[in-house]
Amino acid sequence: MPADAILRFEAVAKTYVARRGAVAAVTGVSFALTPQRVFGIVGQSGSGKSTLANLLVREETPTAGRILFDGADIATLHGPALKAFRRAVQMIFQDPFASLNPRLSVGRTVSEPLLIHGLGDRAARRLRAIAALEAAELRPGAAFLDNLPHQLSGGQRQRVAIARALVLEPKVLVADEPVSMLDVSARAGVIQLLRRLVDERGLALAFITHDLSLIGTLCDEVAVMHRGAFVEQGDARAILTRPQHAYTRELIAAIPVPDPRRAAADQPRSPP
Amino acid sequence: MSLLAIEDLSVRYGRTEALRAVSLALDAGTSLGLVGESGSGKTTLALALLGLLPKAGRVTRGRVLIDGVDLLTLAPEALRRRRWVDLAYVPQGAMNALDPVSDLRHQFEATQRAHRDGNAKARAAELFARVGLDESWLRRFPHEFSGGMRQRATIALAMLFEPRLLVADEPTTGLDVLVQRQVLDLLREARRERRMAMLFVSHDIAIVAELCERMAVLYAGELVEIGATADVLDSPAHPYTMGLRRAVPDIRFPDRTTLSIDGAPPSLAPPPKACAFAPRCPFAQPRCHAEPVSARVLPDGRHVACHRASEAAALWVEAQAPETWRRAG
Repeated sequence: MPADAILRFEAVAKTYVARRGAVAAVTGVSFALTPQRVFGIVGQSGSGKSTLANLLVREETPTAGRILFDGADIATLHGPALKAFRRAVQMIFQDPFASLNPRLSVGRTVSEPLLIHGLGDRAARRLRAIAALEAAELRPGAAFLDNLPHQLSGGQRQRVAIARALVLEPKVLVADEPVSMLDVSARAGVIQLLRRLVDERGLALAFITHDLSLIGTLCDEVAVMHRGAFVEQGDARAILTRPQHAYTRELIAAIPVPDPRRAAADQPRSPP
Repeated sequence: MSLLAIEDLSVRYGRTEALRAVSLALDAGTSLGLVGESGSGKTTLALALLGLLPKAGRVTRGRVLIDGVDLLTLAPEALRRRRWVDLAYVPQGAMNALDPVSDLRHQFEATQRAHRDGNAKARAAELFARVGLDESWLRRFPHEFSGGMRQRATIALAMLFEPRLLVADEPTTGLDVLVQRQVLDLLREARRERRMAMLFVSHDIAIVAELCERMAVLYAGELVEIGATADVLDSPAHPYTMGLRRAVPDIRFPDRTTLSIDGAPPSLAPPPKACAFAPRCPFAQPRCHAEPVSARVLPDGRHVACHRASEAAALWVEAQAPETWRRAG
């Protein structure tokens, strides 16, 4: 594990107590998020990836193991240190149609985290919101301030959500399926934006997805999650080109490929 | 005669001309993929042909022929009788397609009763088996099913009368990769076994490549390209199709960057007079912004609505370079 990791999971487990006994949602996972690096977490629904996302932002706390942020166990944070953690680790959600308040203007949406954290006066907040919008490639930022979410495309809405996450100048972004609700034609733009933010601002990004085909051009490292555990973890290209675990191979084989000839091989063409 | 022929179909929602002069045909046993981004008119087309447009929607022109009979002229009762039996529908988000207050067995029985005499019970069990659901699940309610199971149950219900045409609207959107694989295999099986024709609506051309022999690309309510899937994907002739082709990741080539088509579709209230894609098109010329475009036929039988269709091969070479799409900004 690189020494300069900003967020580090050490054998983290999360078990929920249910009526029928304990349910292990996450079982002993270890990884590190590093500035300028993208860590992909691939899993199907029920794999534990959402629990993992909640652990990353301290919405949940581990039942075993430790999560270290800048060397400190986040379970022990409180007061100003916890506030600093909450500023430093920001989440981007799957559905920009649901995660933005439909009645709030873009300007209000993006500057709200500043208000909550008591940062800056009105004029300063406005400037920081504009800068965040432009960092999310909504340019000129000022032109978007008065828009309501319904006036924007899906891709633009997700950029507003990203601007909202950026406005506090975080060190870590946790993106949970950030493009799965977007049109295919808008996905690449958001993926490239995330990569640029990581490269240019030195952010660490945890990218959570069910779709392995999205990780090729974005992620440096990948972990494949199945039933709460990482079944395979390592270099993203290596995992895509030489998957070692049967489950990873199954996931890769399931992905549709935009090649009609491959499909034609097992699909008889109907007579004209 | 085609099983389905849509001729010159136009649909409005108030001032918005959501679908404009769309014509396409589907032969028995064949499949057509309908692709385009949100707001392109895909779902409007599916709903119009099923006679299920929302109240605000109105067909202003055109015909929808099934075996030569215009569905749009049928009385509501006659159309209702043909639905399920001749043409079945798997809607977007099967979450809401099932009745939440009855178990699945009742839904099969109610559908059966509404159309024909006969015992739905044995048939329901058989259909459940075919979609990989245990018979015992017929006693369960939709909320007890996972998303994938619900989608499979909806497809099983749609197969009740072995319809000759299945209209499926994004049936796998929101499903995990492995569940999506099951649903795609299931649809392919059903087509192969029953020679069922299928109109498959999707924003994902990789899925269309797997399931459909032909594909049609909709943009801003108009058909911009239609032809054999292999031709359209190998050598797209409309710049919008080229953009979609470059936007889809291919798991076999992890290093290949995907591109996005910047901007958004135009307002359709009223629609632009010239090419609707011109403002986003990296290849637009002055005439593209000024003159209406009509479809022309390529040697391989494709229809393409682009002023520069004759240069398509050269444009496709350019379209593969990332710089081309950045320029479009």
